[in-house]
Amino acid sequence: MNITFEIIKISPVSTEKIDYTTIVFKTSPPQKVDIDNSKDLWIYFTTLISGGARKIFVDLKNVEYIDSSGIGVFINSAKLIRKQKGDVVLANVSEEVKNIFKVINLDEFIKIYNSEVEAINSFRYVV
Amino acid sequence: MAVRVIDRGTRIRRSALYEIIYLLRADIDLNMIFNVLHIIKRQDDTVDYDNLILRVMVAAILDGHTAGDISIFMKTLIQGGAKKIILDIAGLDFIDSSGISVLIQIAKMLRHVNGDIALLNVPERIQLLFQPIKLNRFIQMFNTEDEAINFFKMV
Repeated sequence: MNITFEIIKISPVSTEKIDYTTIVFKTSPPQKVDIDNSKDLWIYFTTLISGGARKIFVDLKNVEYIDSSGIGVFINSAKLIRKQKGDVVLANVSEEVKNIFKVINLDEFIKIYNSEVEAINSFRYVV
Repeated sequence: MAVRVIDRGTRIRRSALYEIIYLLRADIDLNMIFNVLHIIKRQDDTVDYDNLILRVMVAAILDGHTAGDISIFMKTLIQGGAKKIILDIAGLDFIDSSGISVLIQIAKMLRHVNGDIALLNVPERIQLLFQPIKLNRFIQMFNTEDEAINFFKMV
């Protein structure tokens, strides 16, 4: 499973010590997130979160199909990251995936935005 | 006076050149790719970092900007418990001293936790850069993924 990632710094100040409140880990999973590869995604999230990451933005622009194990990864990582006062945010959800999310009311638990800009802006004021 | 005019001219031309370089940089894909290789496939939910290798493909350019990003990412992974990392640099076009220093820092950090790093698919022109500083004595380099996985079975 190829997970594309990017690091977005909210504040231009850079110090020797890594300040995780100013760093957003942008992640885009591949086309299909199912039982075969959702464990890799879980390894990616859990390693980053236990390493101290506090702001993760998941860009679902490539995702066409997601199953329960994939949704479970998002919910579990949201639970894990909220223990250290961080948050997981989703954006660019396609229509098919939106229908799946609607059934389980995922938007009540994880914030879902329409565009990348809104998602990054939402992180600006979260400490 | 004439000198000043020439000076200003070259300065403008140089700034234009930088602009072009930055425009070109915007075209180059600076995304990095992450995936996981399993030494032993397990079905349970625990994550055993001894038996899995994290493979990271870097962007085309590894200079001051992107080297900072990759070092943040790698440090977060290592703090999170990662031990075995393969860095695939097949698509690397350019690396400078800050990029190399990040590689060395990551290798040192990983060896602290009894892990290791390996470089995969090093392009020839990058190998020429690594030769004078003898980086291959410090970091293992491989041409195929299988060789790298075999190396990590020993670590």
